[in-house]
Amino acid sequence: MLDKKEINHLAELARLNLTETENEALQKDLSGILDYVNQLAEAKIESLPESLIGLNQNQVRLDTEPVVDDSLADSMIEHFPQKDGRSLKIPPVF
Amino acid sequence: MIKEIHQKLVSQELSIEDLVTTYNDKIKERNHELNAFLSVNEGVILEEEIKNAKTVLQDNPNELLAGIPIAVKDNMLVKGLKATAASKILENYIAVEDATVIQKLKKRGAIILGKTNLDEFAMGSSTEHSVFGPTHNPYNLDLVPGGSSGGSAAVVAADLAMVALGSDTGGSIRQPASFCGVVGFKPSYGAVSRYGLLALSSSLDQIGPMTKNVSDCKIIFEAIAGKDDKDATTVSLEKNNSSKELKSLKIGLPKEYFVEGLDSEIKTQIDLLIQKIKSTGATVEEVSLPLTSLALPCYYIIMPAEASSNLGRYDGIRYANPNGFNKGENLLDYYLRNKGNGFGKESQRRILLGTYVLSAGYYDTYYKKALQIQEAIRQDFNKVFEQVDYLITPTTPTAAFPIGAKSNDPLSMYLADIFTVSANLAGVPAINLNLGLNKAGLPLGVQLIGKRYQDFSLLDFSEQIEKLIQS
Repeated sequence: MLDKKEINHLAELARLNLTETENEALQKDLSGILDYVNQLAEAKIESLPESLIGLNQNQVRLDTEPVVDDSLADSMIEHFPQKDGRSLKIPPVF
Repeated sequence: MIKEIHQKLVSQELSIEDLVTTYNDKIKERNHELNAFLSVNEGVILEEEIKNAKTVLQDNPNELLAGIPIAVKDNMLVKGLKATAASKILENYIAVEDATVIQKLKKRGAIILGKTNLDEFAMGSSTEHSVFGPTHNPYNLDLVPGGSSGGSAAVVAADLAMVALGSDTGGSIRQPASFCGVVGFKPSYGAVSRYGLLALSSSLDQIGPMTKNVSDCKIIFEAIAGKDDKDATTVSLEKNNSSKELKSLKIGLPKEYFVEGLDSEIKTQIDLLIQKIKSTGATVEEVSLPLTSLALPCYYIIMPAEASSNLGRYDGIRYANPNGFNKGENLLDYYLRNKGNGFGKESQRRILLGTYVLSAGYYDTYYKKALQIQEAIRQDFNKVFEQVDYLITPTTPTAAFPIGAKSNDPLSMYLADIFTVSANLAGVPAINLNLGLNKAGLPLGVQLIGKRYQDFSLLDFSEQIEKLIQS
């Protein structure tokens, strides 16, 4: 069972701000889900594959066509809430 | 459907404008009770698409998709339209470009009718976790349409669009297709580009068609599939030139899918279908996928781990709140005040779960073990496909459930995907077909699974099975 402190720690790692009620609900929900997924930790399977290549081979491509058109950047800037010319304005964080 | 409408457009029995107007009228009439469309395309953008459709049809009268109205799940980008992912965070976000699938469809003259409802960021199995309220099942408004592509399934079932696009990470196309009685196809991992799809779990996400029949599904899939430089996982699929007759095929029934908890009417309907298949001369045999019971717990480690990383971009700076920022005393405080104020309950759960399984000390116990089991599941599918050509399973354990029945019990909601997640973990193509209605008048689904990258063969097989179901 996860307690309040553990949920707060996870929330801080994930940069989420939780209310007391949310924290309480999450203690219950996450503990239930973790009990369920613990089947994996307990599963006794002979010879689990060590190699984890995954579904895909890595693919690379040449970067032959650099972006020369500013219109995509322009429309992205246009949709940002606060700006100064082509600079995006956010509050100082340091 | 598409072919019939196409004929009418070519012979000018029907105009593209009239077709679009017909659908817009249907949407006006029924969307208020279904809540399936979140936004409808109109004004200049729609006019341009109609103009484009006419040009395409004039230049190439064989272009089946010219003028065909399509609905798109609201986690894909359509330039100039909102892409909310049913989240408060993206409530006012307007896409600045088209997703690759949308580009491809527009090039062929398709018309985007509007954007459909989903569980927030495609996380859920009922479309109840949408900040814009749940979508209702067209067969019974008190029931869920399934999810997360519940809006897309509902609009196809209620004929508010001819076809729709959905996305499927653990069953999000096939499960709602089953609940709403439509065809829903999750292609092989790598078959369709995800560029412009809001990422949930990048190693599992796949875009696919939701349609009224397999023929339409094939047309849409052919249009959207293929290699794309903007999604490095994509490949070009070979088309199937020699579609095999049913009687020469071997079909497997994985015994782990026909277990206690499976609705008896679904079981009976599938048994009936199997009798019909056998009568064509095809071989049907029981096979085993021994790790099936571990697929869902495995999925609920891999998916939240990736989701917690992918959702990190909604940090309160990028995709910023248009009302401005809450100031913080330092960087941590800033994030705490700005990130997450918009995430719904299910998103919070998965972000924290992902953070937990990836954190120091738990990585080996959970994440690494899950990847190993995923690899073992993939090998099981490879082995079984040495014995048989296709697999047949139920799509869901039950028919659609009432709105509110599971929304406060995450684990019981997750179990709705128990038969669909394996295909995502193994990267294989899988499709839902409607088997008919149960005694309560609700659709029941059957799932057909094929070998990885044999998507075109699976669709040919599905067309044969569809005929048998209807016979």
